[in-house]
Amino acid sequence: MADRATLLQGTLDVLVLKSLALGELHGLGVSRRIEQLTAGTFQVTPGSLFPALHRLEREGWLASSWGRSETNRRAKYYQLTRAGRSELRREMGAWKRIAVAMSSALEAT
Amino acid sequence: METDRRRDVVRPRGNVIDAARALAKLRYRCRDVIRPRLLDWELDEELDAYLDLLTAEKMAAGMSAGDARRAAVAELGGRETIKGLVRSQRFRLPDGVVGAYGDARAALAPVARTAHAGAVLTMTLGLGISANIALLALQRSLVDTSTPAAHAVRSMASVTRPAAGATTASQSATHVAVNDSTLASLVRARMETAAASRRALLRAAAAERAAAERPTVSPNMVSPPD
Repeated sequence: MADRATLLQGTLDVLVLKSLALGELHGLGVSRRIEQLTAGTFQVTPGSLFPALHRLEREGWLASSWGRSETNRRAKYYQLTRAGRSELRREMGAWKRIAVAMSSALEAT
Repeated sequence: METDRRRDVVRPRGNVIDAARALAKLRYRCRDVIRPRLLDWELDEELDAYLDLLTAEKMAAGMSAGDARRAAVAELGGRETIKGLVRSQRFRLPDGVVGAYGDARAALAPVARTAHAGAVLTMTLGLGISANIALLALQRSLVDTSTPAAHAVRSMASVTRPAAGATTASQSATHVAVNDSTLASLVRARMETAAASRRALLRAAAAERAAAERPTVSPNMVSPPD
């Protein structure tokens, strides 16, 4: 179970980084973008999303600033830092290798 | 080989990124320690914004304002739980350091609340330092010219200096001359005393030697006849 929890946390981190690859988003925007990217497979609850956003920000992979939303509500926007982009590249490479290995393992007879 | 060459080229940029990330982490740690209340307030504001945006989204989907709000609150879940999870990721100093920092903040809070606290503090320090310098200068000028203690100190200092050519001021030269003659008379007296003692000792030693060399003859002793 512990391995599974670790895997899920890593999954969420890379999904958050990927969701911000195109530009800055507020918390709800990140959540909706992840749903869109995974075709609804992952629905990130605020209880997982906000700790992940703050953790990634403290790691120096995200930066935040206050701005106005489309409904003119003051909201905190997150964006990738340069370190975050290189981390996303690194994580994407690692996940591709894992995906290939897992699919070949599961398809093996 | 291609990869290695590319890595060599990319490495300096990687160092810059690492340095920027380290600086960002340090900045967040400082904020965690110095402004925890501001971070709590910002987190509250962020969760409020999430709730408002979610409500607006649900209203746009056709829900009434009340239903949309209720659904948004339910979707957000336990607000305090989320805040606790976020807070648990903040950097924390050891408890002893936190306590000392809190005490110092509490002690300085009344001072910091006054509008011109900085100016008052600077002026107090400036006046205090200036007053100390002025008092020391005054004390030095008075002590150097008038008190017997200053004379004594200066005399001792002048005795230790070589007499000839060591001073240029006439007053100092007089001091040197006076003290040199005093010192010479003291040395002379001391040498005479030492010489007298030495002479007395020599005399006593000579007398003892003479007494030892003289033959002692007892009246009972008679030399035997040959």
